[in-house]
Amino acid sequence: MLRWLFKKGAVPAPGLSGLTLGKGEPKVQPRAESLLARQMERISAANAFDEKWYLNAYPDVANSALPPLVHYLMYGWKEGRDPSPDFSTQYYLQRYADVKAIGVNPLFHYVAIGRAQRRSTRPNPNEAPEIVPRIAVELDLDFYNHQAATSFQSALEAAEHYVNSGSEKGFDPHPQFKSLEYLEDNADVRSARINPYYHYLVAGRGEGRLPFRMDVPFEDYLHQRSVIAKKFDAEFYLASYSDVAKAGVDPLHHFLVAGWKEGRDPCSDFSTDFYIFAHRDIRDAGVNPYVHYLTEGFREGRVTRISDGWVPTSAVRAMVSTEFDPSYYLQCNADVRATGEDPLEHFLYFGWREFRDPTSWFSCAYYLQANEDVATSGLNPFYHYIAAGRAEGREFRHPGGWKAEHLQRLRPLETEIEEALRLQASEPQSRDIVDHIQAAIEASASTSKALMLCVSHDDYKRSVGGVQLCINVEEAAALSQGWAYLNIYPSTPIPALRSELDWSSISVEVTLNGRKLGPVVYGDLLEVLSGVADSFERRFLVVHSLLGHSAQAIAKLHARLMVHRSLFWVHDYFSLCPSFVLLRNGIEYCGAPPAASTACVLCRFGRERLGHSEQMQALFSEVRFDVVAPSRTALEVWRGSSTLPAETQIVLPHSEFEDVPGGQSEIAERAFQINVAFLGHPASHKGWHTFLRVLDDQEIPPQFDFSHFGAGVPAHKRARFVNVSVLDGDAGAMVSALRRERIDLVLLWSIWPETYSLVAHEALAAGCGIICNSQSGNIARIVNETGAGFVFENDADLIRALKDGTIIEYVKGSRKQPRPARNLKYSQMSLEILRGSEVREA
Amino acid sequence: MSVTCFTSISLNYLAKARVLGWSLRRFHPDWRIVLCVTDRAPPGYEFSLSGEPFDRVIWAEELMGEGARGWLFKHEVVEACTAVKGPALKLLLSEGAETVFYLDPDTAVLGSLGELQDALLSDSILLTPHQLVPETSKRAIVDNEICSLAHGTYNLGFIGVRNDESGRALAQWWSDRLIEYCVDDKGRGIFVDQKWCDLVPALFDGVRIVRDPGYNVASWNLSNRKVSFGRDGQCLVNGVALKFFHFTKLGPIGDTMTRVYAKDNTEVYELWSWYKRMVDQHSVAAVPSSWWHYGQFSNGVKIPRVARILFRERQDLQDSFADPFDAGSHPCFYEWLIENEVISL
Repeated sequence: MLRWLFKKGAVPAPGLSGLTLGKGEPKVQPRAESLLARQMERISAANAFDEKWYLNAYPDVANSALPPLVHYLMYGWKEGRDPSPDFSTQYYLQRYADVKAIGVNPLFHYVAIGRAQRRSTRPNPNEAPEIVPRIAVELDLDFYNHQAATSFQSALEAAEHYVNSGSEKGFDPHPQFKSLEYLEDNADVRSARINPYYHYLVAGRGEGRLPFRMDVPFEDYLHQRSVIAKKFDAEFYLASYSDVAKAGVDPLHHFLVAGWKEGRDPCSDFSTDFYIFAHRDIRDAGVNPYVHYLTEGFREGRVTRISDGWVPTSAVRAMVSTEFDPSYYLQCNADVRATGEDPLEHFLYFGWREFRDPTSWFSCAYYLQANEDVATSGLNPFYHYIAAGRAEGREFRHPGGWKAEHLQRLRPLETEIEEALRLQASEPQSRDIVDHIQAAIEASASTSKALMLCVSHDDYKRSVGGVQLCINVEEAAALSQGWAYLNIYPSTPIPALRSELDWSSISVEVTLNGRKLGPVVYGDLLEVLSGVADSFERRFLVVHSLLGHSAQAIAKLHARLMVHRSLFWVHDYFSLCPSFVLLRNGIEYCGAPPAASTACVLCRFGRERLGHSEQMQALFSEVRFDVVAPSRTALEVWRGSSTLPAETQIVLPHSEFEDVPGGQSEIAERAFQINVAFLGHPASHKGWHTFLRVLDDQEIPPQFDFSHFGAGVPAHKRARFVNVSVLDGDAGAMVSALRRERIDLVLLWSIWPETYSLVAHEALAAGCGIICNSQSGNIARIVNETGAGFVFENDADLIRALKDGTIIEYVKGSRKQPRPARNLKYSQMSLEILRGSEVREA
Repeated sequence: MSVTCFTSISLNYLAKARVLGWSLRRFHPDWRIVLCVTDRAPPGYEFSLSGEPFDRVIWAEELMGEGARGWLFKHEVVEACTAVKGPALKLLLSEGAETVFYLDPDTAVLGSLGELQDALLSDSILLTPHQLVPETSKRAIVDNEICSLAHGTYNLGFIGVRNDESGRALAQWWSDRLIEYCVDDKGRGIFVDQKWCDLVPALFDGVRIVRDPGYNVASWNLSNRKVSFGRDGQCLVNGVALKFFHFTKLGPIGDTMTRVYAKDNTEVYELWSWYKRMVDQHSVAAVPSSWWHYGQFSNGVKIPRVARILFRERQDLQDSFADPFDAGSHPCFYEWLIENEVISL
């Protein structure tokens, strides 16, 4: 504020002789003997004078050429002017006779003494005599004492405390009133400094103001109120909830802001708890259940309270429980698993109504759709089937099996992509992370001769799967070679390529030498990499998967990095189609026919494939990839359907067998039990439904004992679950587990041409035979080459062989041979090719 | 030889017609596609050819000329939309179209129709039967063969006509019959436009019954047709190319009949899955699914079937009320129906 003193042309006011200006930078050095200077110094230091406000409030001051504070100190206060909106000159003088008596400037007095004495600076609306008694009438003494940790004897006493200091400390006079929220939400009350609860009681409540903040906007509150108002039974509410009655709050208001969350019912016909429990979507959406019912639920025929129809009778429970498969139910329903509810109970009350299936072989949706009489009867369809439908010869699932059911659920790919993109993180990219990544790569350049830029589709440190394992192995090989290994995968996973023209702002996650560095947009990564490219003697690009990436961005990274050699791995067929396992509509192997063919037109991936192919073509034209397939089968499939140019085509298997001495036959002593295992994730394209079909076939001979090896949860009551995870750091975990559990045969029923199948090799290493189908690519090839197991044409052939003794005979024969003891030794993946490769100009 | 292909709809079938139109364009971009509309657009929606796969729209009121409103009143929506097929065919031939194909709006073309075009070089009229081989199961006999006996041997979701003497004679005859007798009255042996065509092979020369299983594949013949895909991506039926599929009765009934006969032929469900996605994608939000302008009087009251039958059967009513839809004048047919307690207020 003192800058006024240095305003060019400002006329020094009388009595300013105490101010001296030093040399150079102007300084203010008030002399102690100058009262005015001392006052100015104290007031300025206390920030008690609002110069701007003063000039606004008193425009004549601006014309006076006097600095505003000087004006106030010399004339303003005597004229009854205020130095700021927070200080009333007249009030202070009137209220404090001692100040008036000595004739001192009231603001100076306040700054110097008054504030320490807690004198007030302006009229306090809360000093009105009616406030405390009014509050005392409504104040909840126990509630208040509990907060204040004291024991006021009367509500009056507590109200006085609340008015004087309690409200400022954030204490609340009543459980249904939040002082601080009320002040925050009502600016007028705040600026008038009126006690919030008093304001609420005498004015706010009548004006429809809310006693505490709601989690919905006020307009929504009003809307909800109008929706519920006619149906809400205030009498019932008050009679049911005495605390609300005692509090004297508006019962409808109480229900809207708090009651429903506490499970209170708005009327006798509606059970809030039941509605939330019965309708999972309402629970997940977190909306007021009664509002939902009145606006939508009643139209959808939703049940509002438990009734006879909802409670399963003991007969239903007994009959359903005999065939219900809790493992299957929990495997299919992650939400039930998460809440820890009893799966049978869940099914009996809700599951069947939500078309959740009780076993792998029964479809509630199909049964209800195909049998109108059952649907209209309101009976549990599974109960109906067991009790009557089975004897009547009714079908229990779609004759088209899982494929037809999958098609019923099919949504356009475009919708799925849009939804994934909508969910993407919108946080702005941090410059710090970019700097951090740059520094890390630069640091790495000082110790590494070569840089490998690895492009993949997900977090290979966390996901279980063949490709992820390959990347981990490759990374370790690169690091042991003294190379830097930079992996990028999309921050937002989508089931296609990113097609935005502005690829530069798409974000990827960066991992350097096994250490996660964070997200960065392609554009920034491009800058970082161009800056460091020269620091590495050799630079390589290795594409393991482009899923979720921008092909254009990868081409730019390749160019800017001045890559010496680029490898493109055929782990799957994403380079040919977004359906990377080449399953038309997710159910049938298609062999990647021409994109304009009818098959592609009818396929959910067809439209996307058109642009996809163009992007791939552009990328492969720009980057001269060496195409690497882990098997001849993979390369043949790829070559058969691809027009993409390749510099060279290489077959490099991921692993080879290493003999371990001491293999022996140990089966002879055991009872003759044949152990068949399904390995891996229970996915359709891995043949999971065929395994279910086998498990559900009651005519399979009892010698067969089925199990499921995987990382996750049990999936079927007839398949013993063996938890195996390679992420635990034990790459040989599957081989050991198969040996330990004495598995004879593994079912690897992939319905697409697998490019390698590590599990198939693990099974062979463990001495197991393999059951597969002729469509399974490299799996069928290795079975044919080794003679270890069976290659069937279709499900029916497999089931026949299980029943007619073909498989039993095979196992009997194989057990006479010593069980080979082998380990699987991984290749070094891309390093096998890149190590020692000639430097070529990019 | 140039080809004109037309379909006939009320506007709530526009999405299906669009799917048909675009599917036809894929194989025959040079064919002229005509949309015949027996409807008027609902408030807030205006039909325009821009962005549509159609080259021309024919409105039924224009097609039927004077007396169109009285004639329309005599028909339910299906009757009216099928009846206009005859006059539309006649119009297109009279305008000089060399060959004309009709395809139902709920069909979709999934293979080239070039062979049909070629067939019309030598023949005048092409018809596709519902079934090509005898059924063996009792249910299929009832569902398919007996159904064909009641509704017609040939499915009139398709007809191909050459602009020659025989073709023009067929158009004239069919048009005349449909203007007069296109009703669902199976008791009298009439089923809209379709049952009439049982007479066609006897009445006209140059009729070819198309016996290729790739045409007009639908739930009524799936019992004997197996859909598959070739490695080249072509859709096949019993090993030959699928040309067009008839997605009859989109909804639970269609689903049930398909399930019964397609069984585990999942490729059929793939066709349906695609069709449902396409219809969804091409649907017009501004046209309610139950919309039909001629389904109500001018005051919005739904026209009961009995009123249509009365009007159809009684010449005196037809003479008295030129526009039977009119409910605002005095006297009017609506008023007459109330006075005679056909409609109660």
